[in-house]
Amino acid sequence: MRIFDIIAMCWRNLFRRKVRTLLTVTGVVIGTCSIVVMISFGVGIDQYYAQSLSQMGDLTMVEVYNWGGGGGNGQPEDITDEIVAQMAAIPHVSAISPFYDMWNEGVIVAGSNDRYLYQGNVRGVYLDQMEAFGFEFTEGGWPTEEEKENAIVFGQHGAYQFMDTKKRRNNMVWPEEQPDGTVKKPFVDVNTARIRVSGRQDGSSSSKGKKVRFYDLRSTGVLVENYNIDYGSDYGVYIDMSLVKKLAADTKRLNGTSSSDGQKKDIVYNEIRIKVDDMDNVSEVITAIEAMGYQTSSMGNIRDQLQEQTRVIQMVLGALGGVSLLVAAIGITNTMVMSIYERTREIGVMKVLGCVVGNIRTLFLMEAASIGLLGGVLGIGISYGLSYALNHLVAGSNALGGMLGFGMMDGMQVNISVIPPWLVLLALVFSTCVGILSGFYPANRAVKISALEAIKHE
Amino acid sequence: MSGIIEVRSLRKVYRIGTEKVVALVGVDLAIDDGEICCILGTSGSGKSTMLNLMAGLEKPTKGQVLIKGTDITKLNEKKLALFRQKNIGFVFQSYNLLGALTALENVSMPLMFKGMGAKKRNKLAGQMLEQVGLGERMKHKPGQMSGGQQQRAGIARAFVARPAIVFADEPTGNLDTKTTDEVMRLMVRMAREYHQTLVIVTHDPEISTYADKVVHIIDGQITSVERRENPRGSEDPDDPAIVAEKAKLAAAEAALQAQNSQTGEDGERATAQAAAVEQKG
Repeated sequence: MRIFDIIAMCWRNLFRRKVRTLLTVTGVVIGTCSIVVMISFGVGIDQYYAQSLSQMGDLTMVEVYNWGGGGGNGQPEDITDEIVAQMAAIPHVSAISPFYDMWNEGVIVAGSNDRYLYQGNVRGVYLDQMEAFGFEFTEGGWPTEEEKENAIVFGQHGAYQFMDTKKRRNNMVWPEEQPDGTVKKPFVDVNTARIRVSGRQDGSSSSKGKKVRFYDLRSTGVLVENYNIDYGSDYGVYIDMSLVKKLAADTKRLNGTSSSDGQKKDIVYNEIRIKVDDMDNVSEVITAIEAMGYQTSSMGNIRDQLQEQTRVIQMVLGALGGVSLLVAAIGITNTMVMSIYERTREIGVMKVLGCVVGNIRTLFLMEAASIGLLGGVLGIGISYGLSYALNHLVAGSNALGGMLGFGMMDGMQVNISVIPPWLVLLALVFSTCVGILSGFYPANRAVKISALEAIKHE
Repeated sequence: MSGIIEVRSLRKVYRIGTEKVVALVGVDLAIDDGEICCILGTSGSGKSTMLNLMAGLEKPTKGQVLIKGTDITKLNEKKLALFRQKNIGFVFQSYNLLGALTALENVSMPLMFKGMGAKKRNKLAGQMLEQVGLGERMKHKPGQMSGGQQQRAGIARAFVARPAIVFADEPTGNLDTKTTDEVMRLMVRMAREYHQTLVIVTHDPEISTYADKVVHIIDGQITSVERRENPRGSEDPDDPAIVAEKAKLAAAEAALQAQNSQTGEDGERATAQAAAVEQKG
């Protein structure tokens, strides 16, 4: 028998007993709905967590710290450029950079006669890695490979950190709004002013008379402040680590500390940031870093833990829905058994006419599977409707949202029920499988019916 | 030369509770290719058991059933089903057409089980229905047809796959005398036309007059096998007596159809009326 003929026969049989088929399908619809809607709550909670975490920080960024130090005694080695290079080689690391605060290694000055002295944070980074970290610019951009050594990137309000050295009072300006509605401008226009950086002379006797070497800096852009990535994006500036190292060397030369402090040649970082290529790989990278002995912190990691929690919630909710699908499965079995009772003679006739047993089994399994599939399809349709209704009900009522533990966030659409495509597929496959499983027992009964039934006289 | 069906010391014992009932004592029988054989016996004589065993619907307690040299008692269920697909047609007393299917779909069913495509099998089934005189009723469901028409559809279904053997189990048991004759003639004509073997099981001695060979069975034993020359339904079609009878039948048919189209009455009553018309004539 051709499979198409079996399918046609199967649908005809279902259609023949419309009411019974419909009632049985309704059972599956209810089962599918309860599973889909229940799991959609779990997905909704998960998405809500993800959304709120991503507002707090970048989920694919991992911060690495090293507060222990020095190596030896089982402590992790100091993080130097060499260690950073090792970390960069970890799979799924798409970008990596230290975030190093330069305090004593150098000074930035601007304006004619170096009138303005920079007072804020100078963050030493790998400028060529910054692109991946997701900063936004109010103007300009990151420097190119050639520019980076003499480049400076300003935080949104970085220019306000220049102090006028010629004044004793009011020697700083702040981005305050003035009565006429405009915002006060900083002393230095970063695009036109001459900006220079040099090593620091500490003013002690050993540094007297030594010549200070200046490096010209060119601003390539001004960032938009974003504390989720780095606080330097507000009142700080960024320069490349290669420059920081040059300045550090200059400072040692100027102050004659290079010999006494000569043991430590490399700059030691205590904060590294890593950008991971995908959210799903964050925990893998974290494991690798922690295996090297360093502490990490990541929103993605927090999310993993929350996900673990929501998975449990999803499973519990899904199991609740599963109970009603179990009831539906029993309904399918019952319907099929009844139908086989009615069709005993028909099955006998088919056997006498040469229908092989396998075809009969396939026919009944297919009928059961069709009931499951039909219920699944309708159930998903209804679930979408329910989900839509629930989301709009909750969106319209903060009280209910609050009751369920969903705080409304600014400008954020909060859905308590989310049906992703995988859930649709899962529901279809699951309901069909339930149909097939429920069909096994009846199908085997049908197979066992004797061909003699057909020739029994009434 | 051995026949197309050969039954060798066939024995069947049923167990009902602790009691044993011997349905067939141990019978031998050979049926030749193209023969029309009637197995005649009263109810409980074992004739139905005989048919079930020959068609492979039951397993014997002892003995063999050879069909075209194959011992079908040794085949498993799947092989038996395939064997029936190829070699055996079946006409039932209660027609056993599937109620949800049209006449055409019912007749094409054995071809469907064989895996034939819808177009081809519907064409063959359509031709078959034309042959049994149901060309106008292809789209009718069994519930919309008279007993005689249903049985003709049943015959079309049994013959459609051109099986070597057709078994008929009390094929006219539910029909009136006139329809019985029609149905018997139809079956005999079809079997002769394609040189098929027809095995009819009945308790009605009248039916045995259509057969070449009549096997009497009493209490599970074959008591006699007679050969008949010139059985009914197999006469020369040019015989004047037959021609006259056919003309009469055709007239009755026409009257019946006229009645049907006028009143839309159900077939059963129309047939009765047609019979009345015929009697007057």
